[in-house]
Amino acid sequence: MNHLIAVILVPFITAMVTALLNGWPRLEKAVSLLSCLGLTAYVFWLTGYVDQHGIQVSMIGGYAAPFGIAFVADRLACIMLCLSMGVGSVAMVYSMWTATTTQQKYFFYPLFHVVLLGVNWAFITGDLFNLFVAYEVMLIGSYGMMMVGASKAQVRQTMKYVAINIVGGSLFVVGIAFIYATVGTVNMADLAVRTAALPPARAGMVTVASLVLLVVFALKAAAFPVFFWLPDSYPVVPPGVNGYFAGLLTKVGVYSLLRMFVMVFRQDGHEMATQILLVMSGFTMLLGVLGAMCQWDIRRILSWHIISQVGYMVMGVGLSANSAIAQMAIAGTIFYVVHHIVVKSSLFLVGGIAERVTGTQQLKQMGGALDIAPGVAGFFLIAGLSLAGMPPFSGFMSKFVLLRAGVTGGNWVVVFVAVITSFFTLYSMSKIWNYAFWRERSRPWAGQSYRGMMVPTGVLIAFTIVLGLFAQPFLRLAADAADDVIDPRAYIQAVLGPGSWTPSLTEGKGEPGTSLAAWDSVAQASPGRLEGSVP
Amino acid sequence: MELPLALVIGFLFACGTYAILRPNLIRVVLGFGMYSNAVNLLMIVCGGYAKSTAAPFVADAKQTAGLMDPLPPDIILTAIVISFAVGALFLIVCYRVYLDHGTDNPEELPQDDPAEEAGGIGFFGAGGYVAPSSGHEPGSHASPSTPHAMKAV
Repeated sequence: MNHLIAVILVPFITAMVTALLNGWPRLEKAVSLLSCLGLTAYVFWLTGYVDQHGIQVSMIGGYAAPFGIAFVADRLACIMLCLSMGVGSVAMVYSMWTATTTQQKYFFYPLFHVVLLGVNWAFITGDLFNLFVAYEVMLIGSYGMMMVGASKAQVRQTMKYVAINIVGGSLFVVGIAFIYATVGTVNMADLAVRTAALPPARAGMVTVASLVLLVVFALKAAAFPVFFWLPDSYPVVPPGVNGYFAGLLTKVGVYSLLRMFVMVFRQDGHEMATQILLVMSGFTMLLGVLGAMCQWDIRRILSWHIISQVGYMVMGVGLSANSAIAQMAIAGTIFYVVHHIVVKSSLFLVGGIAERVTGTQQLKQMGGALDIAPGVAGFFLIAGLSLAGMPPFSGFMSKFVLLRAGVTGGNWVVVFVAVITSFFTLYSMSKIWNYAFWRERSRPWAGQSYRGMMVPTGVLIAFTIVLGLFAQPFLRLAADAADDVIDPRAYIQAVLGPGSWTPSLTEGKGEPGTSLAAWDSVAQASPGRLEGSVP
Repeated sequence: MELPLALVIGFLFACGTYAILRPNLIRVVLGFGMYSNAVNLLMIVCGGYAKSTAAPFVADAKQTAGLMDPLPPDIILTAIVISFAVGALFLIVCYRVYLDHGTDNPEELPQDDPAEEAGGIGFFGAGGYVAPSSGHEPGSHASPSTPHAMKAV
């Protein structure tokens, strides 16, 4: 499978070509769109292929496994790639309607492709140091994207964003250095084998290093103690890209948490990190939603909700410490990531249209968008209810699986916090609805056309309905992906070759499929149940 | 040889942290430079160079004893390139902040007031997006009236 490198090569080449085509906007847009749609088709095909034929590995440069850089496409990576490219294409089409000529002149499209390159790279790589490089590429793209247009507020917020991420990058290398000194490898599959075989006396060092990485990933995911950078920086990003940032960038952190703390670290006492994550998740959910409740700027409200939602996903990773519910918790997390990326991106895109219609992003000055643009109001209603977790939409199923895992495992406190948070989310969404859409019109309509922006937004809205009504095949895929992560034998064999795993690997992580009884209730709750049992 | 290097790394991290916490953007940039140097030194120590020092050119595949591990220098090179690029970008961003606001003290920067956001970053403000057309010649920007902050370096 040497074509796996396409997921980073295509955005890379496109970024360079579009930079050269900067003077010809139509050509630039055409190349961007073609590249995005082509790569989207490829990653969807790849997902189907991996689902049927197992994990695909590509060794860059042909060096053998623990030494060279491995690109690994397992189910989890493929799901994330589909989301990245799918939402990326949608945001790209949306941006073609919203990007101003100034933004396009200062390399809007090339920067977008650099962000896509970094995000795809972070998902496909099977090497810890390569993950660091992917993070930096993604961040450099996002610095540029955040500054494109270079207004005062943008430069000021970018300064904070760069500063916080430089600290994160330094800590990342510190963590990698300690892990390399103790275990002697940075290949993820090799790390999983070697950490499992570490004697308890040396395992503590790996735990310490893993906690350094925990800080880095939590910083990227905007989890509890280190979320403060997000609500300031996201509102200055151009609207279409904002949807992509909101959906994907923090989820790269969640994906890394899943990959490293559930799959890779298997030393004595690895449960410590997941237990810390469980505590962090409760605070993240509650503080995120409380922050959202006291904001009056539509983009800030939505940005605070990102933090709150990240709490649910971190909660799923935290719940996996209990091996009896590990599979359900991880499957729930993966399903939640899918739901969240789609819904959050669509909310930001809808918010962008509402800004365009009403001419402001201050909730108190908005109003009457329901009269002017009923379609937009309908989109917001669906996405908002889905975010809060109302039954027909994808938010309900994803929250249900996670809470079910929490109840089965007896983690009542965090389940309670999660339920309270979703009530507060509903309140916050109804605040936007009341002020921006339902209220009397308080200002003249800005009079700008928004029809072209409805199509890409509609695609995402349609997907959240499909994901809620026909959850079964998606849950099946999420459960299989969770199995791959909890029990990495298939992953390790695919990367290092057969016979390279030890039986102690699954100790303490829960055998896949142990919680089948609990799954039955999930299967019954799925409204549009398809044939076949779960998982 | 590991103890002196550990002390140097600790010292660099301490200085870097101190510089980053100063209310002065240029010191923040320098602090990050110290961080990246400390991290790279840490990587050298973690590569175990003190124990095996021979250059890793293998003439005979069996004689690998005493050869240095080539991976940590490789990682360090990549990390140097990245920290250099990001450091340069950060310096530019800080300079732009200084040109925009006439100060390099982060605490003196304006809080986010809604009026500015509506005009500056509300992409669909009532008058459309106000492109910062003159924004790319530093001279045409709100020129710093009191460049006192820069002399603190």
